[in-house]
Amino acid sequence: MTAGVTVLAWVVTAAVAMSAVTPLILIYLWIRDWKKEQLW
Amino acid sequence: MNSVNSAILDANVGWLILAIFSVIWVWLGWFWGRKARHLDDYMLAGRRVGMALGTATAMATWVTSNTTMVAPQLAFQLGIWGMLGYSLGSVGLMLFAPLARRIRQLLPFGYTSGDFIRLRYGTWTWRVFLVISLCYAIGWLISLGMAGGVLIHALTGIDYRLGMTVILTICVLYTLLGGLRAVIGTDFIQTLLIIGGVVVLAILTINKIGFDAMHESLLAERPELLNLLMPAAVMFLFNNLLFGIGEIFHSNVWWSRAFAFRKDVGFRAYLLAGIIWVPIPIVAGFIALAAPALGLNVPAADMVGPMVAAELLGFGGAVLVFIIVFSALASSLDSLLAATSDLVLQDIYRGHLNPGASDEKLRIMAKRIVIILGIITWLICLPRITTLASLLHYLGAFVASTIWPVVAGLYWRRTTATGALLAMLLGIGSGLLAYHFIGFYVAALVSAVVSMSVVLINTAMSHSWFDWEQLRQSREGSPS
Repeated sequence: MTAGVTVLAWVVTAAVAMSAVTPLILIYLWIRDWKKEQLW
Repeated sequence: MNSVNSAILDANVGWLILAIFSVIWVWLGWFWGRKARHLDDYMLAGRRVGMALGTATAMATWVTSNTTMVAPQLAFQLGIWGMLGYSLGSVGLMLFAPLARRIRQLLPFGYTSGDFIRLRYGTWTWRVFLVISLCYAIGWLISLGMAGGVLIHALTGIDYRLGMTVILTICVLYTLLGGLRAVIGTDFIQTLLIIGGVVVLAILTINKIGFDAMHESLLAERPELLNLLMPAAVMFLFNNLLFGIGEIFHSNVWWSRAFAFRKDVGFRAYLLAGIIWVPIPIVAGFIALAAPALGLNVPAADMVGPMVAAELLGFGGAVLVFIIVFSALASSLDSLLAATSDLVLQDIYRGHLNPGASDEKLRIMAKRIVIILGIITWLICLPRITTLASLLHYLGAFVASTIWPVVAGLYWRRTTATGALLAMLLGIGSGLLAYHFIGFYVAALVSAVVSMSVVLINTAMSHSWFDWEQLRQSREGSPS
């Protein structure tokens, strides 16, 4: 059973999109913690 | 690894990058560590780490040099399942999320995983657990130190011993100056560098080659990489899953974070870290699938990622790969140094040698232990032992044997010290037999199954009833 180009493109695009959002999530959480003085 | 042929960056550029990041990490270590007044500040970052830093440190520590270098190698050898299988490493982080909350509830003043085993199961089970935990921690520390030297040499041509010495010295210095606070703070920046770097590399690869060309070349030259039913890859998937769970559940690297996070942060931070870790091996690994389309002759599979990046993106790609690998190495090495020194300080020095040590004495010893661990690691790394990888496979049987005693100890009152001790010993024994008679890929699996059976039988037959209040004794004699 061979993966078609659509499967390859879908898996990789989803992973890249998810990873691209991660720094934004972390920065958002950092700002939120910093405002609440809960960084550490 | 044929490093002479695979160097993708000039040694002078390598030295410049190393110098810039060394100054940044060490300065940050001093900056964050200068306000540490108590042992809790130094060992556990004051036990007040928030969601952002908590999530980033859990994620960065689990992204090792293996994730950034071996993920492309696995994609190159096992195809799509290689990338997806590696992603299952995230399950360990996610499963640890409820455990982190439970640990913080049961041991609000605990320091190490050893504290829990000592209070829950008594002295002898604690000692066996310590041997397992310390062997694994030191083995991992050495493998990371060696990986640092090997990768710096492979990417830039800088001598193995020099590269290994530099990365080890930097991590020892900033961990020494700032303790866990420095480790967690730098982990946040390293997480952004690693994720940003692999995303940029992946997007540029997609733009320059495209999925159609990549798929066409794979079908023509390496069709097995697109096979969704590759048996070796499916076996790898399960072994990786169990090894990852065993590593996380027993290791003080993760327990010390559970103690360091704010009360309501542990569960959410580990769960989110696990979720955002899932795509990293796919993003880092997929660029290796571009090798056939580029017509690259890859001399060593573990260099496929950097070679594709350098071929596609030139100097900028090579620099980016070096920064990603350097950040991934540092983020794991510093965490391991801090967590292992905590284990030695709390469970060996304080637990066995000097139970009445004062806060001040323990803080001094904590720093000495970081230096001693650094020197031991450096000395063992110096001769570049090539059999270390097989040693780590061997340790899979050890760590997998601890999964069930840890989980049962946290949730079930009826699991006894004898049951936990037998589960670990029989798990290790059977895992090692499986390693010798079947293969490395079943060592962790057999060990976990035997250990699980012993724990389940013991719990079902036991009439004892553990009082959770006994775990709060970790507060007694608390040095700060």
